[in-house]
Amino acid sequence: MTCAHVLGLIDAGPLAGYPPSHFAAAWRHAETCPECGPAMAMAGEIVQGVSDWPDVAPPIDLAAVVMARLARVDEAREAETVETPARGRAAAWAGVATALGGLTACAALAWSAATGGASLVRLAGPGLGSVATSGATWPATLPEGALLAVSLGLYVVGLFAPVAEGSSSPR
Amino acid sequence: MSDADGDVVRDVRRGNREAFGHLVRRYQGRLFGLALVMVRERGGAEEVTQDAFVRAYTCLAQYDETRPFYPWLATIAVRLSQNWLRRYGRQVRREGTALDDAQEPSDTASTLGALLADERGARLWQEVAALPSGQRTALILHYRDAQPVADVARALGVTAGTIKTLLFRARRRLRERLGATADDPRELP
Repeated sequence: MTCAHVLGLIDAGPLAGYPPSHFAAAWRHAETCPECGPAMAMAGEIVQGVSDWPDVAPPIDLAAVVMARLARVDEAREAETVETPARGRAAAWAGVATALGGLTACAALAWSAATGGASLVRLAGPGLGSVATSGATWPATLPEGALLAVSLGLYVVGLFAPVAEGSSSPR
Repeated sequence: MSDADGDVVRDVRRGNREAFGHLVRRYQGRLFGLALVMVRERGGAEEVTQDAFVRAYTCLAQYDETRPFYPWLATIAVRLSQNWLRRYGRQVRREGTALDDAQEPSDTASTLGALLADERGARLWQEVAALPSGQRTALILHYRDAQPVADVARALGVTAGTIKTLLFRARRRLRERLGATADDPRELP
């Protein structure tokens, strides 16, 4: 076993993953070698020195500063949880309003188709007019049906928005 | 995690913010030392230490109570230190041995030594502070903070093999720099 091998084992230490017999041979070499012996001792001192390094005195106000920052974090969290129901209610009401609008439009379409009130529907645009004049069955697969579906979807989302946001409050 | 840490963490999770102050006071010196070794600037170390505690508090839900608290906290500090070094142009690459080659200015290398009264310890720490960032961090986490190689690898985002290489190089470099002056050979730890 050469000095290069032994010095390599000294630097790798137990992490090298060699069998104990390999280390034993290296340490026997180090006991009598003027180069490897001091190197092994120095390696031991280094590891011991690093392991025993005392804690460094932190800034005197560190803990106070951290706790003040944590207080601000909690305040922000509380403000967020207070705002959440208001946002959820607004979303729900927006959904209701949209759904009512869609229902009204569909009702108007159905009424005009049933009564032949094409003039009323024509005022609302080409989509509605074509339905009325062609005599198609409401809601069929036309934009009005999609409008109704979107409206109902918004309404449902609006209703559940407060629950979803409330359940994801921090901590 | 020690029982004391576990009790505190459970208290904090129940909404007792002040309980977190126990953890801050218990680990601030250790964490500040780690941050100082990594960023080598007192102001930067203070910033990293503060941010690490705040991040730990806000992310406490992600902490696994079956594991020790300090290594988790130290991992946060290591990541924040790396961000800090990146932000201030002291690039620490997180892949492969590039971590080992990262060059940094050593203008604050004496900071650690100055904090230690013992001359021999101060010399050692001046040399430790002069190590490349990856070697320095791996050395501190493994030997000083007694973290297994696997945990150090997780904290630094590299493989266990890379950590072993970093530790090998750190030990060799320190040994060569400090010289063979010991009187009595000791068994290698």
